[in-house]
Amino acid sequence: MLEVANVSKKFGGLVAVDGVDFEIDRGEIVGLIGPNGAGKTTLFNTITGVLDPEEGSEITFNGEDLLTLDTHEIARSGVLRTFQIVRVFGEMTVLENAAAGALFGTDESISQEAAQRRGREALAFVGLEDKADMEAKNLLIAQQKQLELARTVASDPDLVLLDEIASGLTPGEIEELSNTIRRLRDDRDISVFWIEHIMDAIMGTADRIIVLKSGRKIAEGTPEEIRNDEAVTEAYLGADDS
Amino acid sequence: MNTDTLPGMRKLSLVAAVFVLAPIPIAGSGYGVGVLTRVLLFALFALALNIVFGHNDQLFLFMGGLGGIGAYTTALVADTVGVTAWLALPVAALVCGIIALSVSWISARRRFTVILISILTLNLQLVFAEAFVGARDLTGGSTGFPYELFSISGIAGAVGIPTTVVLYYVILAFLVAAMVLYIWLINSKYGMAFEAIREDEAAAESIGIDVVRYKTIAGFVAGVIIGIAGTLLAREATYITPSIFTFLAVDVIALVVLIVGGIRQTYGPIVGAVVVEAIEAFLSNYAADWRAAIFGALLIVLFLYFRSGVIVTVRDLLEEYDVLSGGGSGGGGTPTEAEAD
Repeated sequence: MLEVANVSKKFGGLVAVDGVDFEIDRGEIVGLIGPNGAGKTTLFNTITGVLDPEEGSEITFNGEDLLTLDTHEIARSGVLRTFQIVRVFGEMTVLENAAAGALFGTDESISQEAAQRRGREALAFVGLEDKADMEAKNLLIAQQKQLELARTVASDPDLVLLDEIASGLTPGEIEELSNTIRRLRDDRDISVFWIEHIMDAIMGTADRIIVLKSGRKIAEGTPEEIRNDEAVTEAYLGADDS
Repeated sequence: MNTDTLPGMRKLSLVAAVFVLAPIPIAGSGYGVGVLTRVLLFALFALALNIVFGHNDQLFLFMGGLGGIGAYTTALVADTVGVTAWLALPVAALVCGIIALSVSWISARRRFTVILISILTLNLQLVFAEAFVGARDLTGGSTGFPYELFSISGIAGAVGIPTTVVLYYVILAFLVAAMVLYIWLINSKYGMAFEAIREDEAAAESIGIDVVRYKTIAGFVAGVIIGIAGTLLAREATYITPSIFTFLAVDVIALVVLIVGGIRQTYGPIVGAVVVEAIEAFLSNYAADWRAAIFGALLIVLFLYFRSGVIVTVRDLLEEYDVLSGGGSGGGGTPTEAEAD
C-alpha cells in the first residue's frame, strides 16, 4: 500500500533521513522507533508532503506518487496523521474537530450533518463521545491526542501515521490506547504507522517494527526479532567500544 | 445548518428593520442621513475586513485603494461602454475581487504572515493612491469629477423623497445582502475551513483542507464587497477625488469599526460602525476643534478596555447582572443588543 524507496532528507549539511526503504501493507501495524534525532518525525513529514525529500526519493501510496501531491491532497488520498505536539483546533468543540476531519478528509462531498454523524461515531470509537460539546482546548493532553486520532478516523483513512500518541499516558491509558489501535486495524481496516518511545506500548501492539538511527534504517522485523537485535541494543545503549 | 433557512435570519430582519426606519425620525436632515449612510458604508467595509482579516488572518490595508479602483472602474466602464452604472458596478466589483484574489493567492502560496500581508497591501494602497492622482486623463487627478451615477434622482423624484435617502436604502440593500452572504459563508463548510486554518494552518492541511484555496476565496469575496463599498462611498460624496480613498479615510476607520464592534462577531461591523460614527458625529458637532484629539483618546480607551469589542463586553456585562433571560431578542432598541449567535 505505502511504498517508500531510497528516501533522504537533508537540512543543510545534516542528513536527517538517509536512503530509507520500507513498505506498509493493508492491515498492518508498523512501529517506527529510534533514539532522539533519528529522523522519525522527518520521515513522517516527507510522507505527508510537509517536507520535500531529496532527488531520487520515491514515495507511492496505492500506486499514486505522493511526491507530486500537496499535504492536503495526500490527506484526501487516505493518509492521515497525528502530531507529536498535539494540534487540535482548540476553540472548536470536540465534535467540530472530529466533524472537520470527516468534512475535509475525503473527496466525496458530504453535508455538514453527515460530517457531524461521522464525527460523533469517530468520537465514540476513541471513547470521547461524552466530551463532544466541550471546547477542545479544555481537554487533557491525553484526550486531545485521542481527539486527533478521532479526527483522522472520521475521514475514513486507509493509513494513519501516529507520532508519539502514547507519550504522557498512564499504563492503564496505554493499554486502552493499544486496544484502540488494534481496533483501527481489525474493525476499520486502517493500517497504522506508529512512532513511539514507550516500548511496552509498541512492542505489544505492532506486527512489525522499523528502527532508525541517525537517519538510516538499522533493523526491521517482528517485535521479538527487534528485541534481540544487537544493532538496536547498541543504538539505544551505546556500543561497548565507543 | 440546514438548506432552506439560515440561522439568525430573524435577528438580521430585525436589525434591517431598525435601519429601514432609522431615517424617519430625522426626515429632512441631510446631515443625519449622511451620518446614517456612513454607518452603512463603514459597516460594509468592516464586514469585508471581518471575512478576510477576522476569519482568515489576512490583514488587508488597501481597502481605500481597492475601493477607489472599484469607484473609478464603475465610472469609466459606464462612461466608455455607455451602459448604466448598475451594469458597470458588477464589472468593477469583479476587477476588485480579482485583485484581492491575486494578493491572497500569492500571500497564501508564499505563506506570508499577517504582518507581511499588511505590509504588502499597505504598499499597494500607496501605489493606488499615487495612481489615482497621477492618471489624470482617467481620474481627473486630485480635482476629480462629479460622481452622480446610478440614476437615483429619477427614483427619488418618482417616490418623492430626497436622493440621499434613496441612496441610503440602496446601500442598506447591499449591506443586508452582504450580511446574508456572510452568515451563509460562516455557517457553511467554508466557515469551518476558515476557522480551522485560522487556528492551526498545519493541522488544517493535515486533515485535507486546501489552505491556499480557502484563503483565496476569502480574499475574492472581500475584494468584491470592498469594490462595491468604494463605489457607493464615492456616490455618497457625489464627487470623486483620490482623497476619499486614502489609508486614513478608509482603512483606519474600517479597522477601528471592526475592532470596536467585535472581530468575528456577526454584527460586529454594524455595531462598530454605529458607535464610531456616533462618536465622530458628536465630536464634530460639539468639539470640532478637538475632534481628532478626543477621537484618538477615545480609541485608546476602547482598545484598552473593549478589545474584544462592544458586543462581547456588553454581553458579558448583561450575563454578569443576569439581564439576559436566555435566548434574548437582539435587534430591539439599539443595534448594540444585537449580538452574534
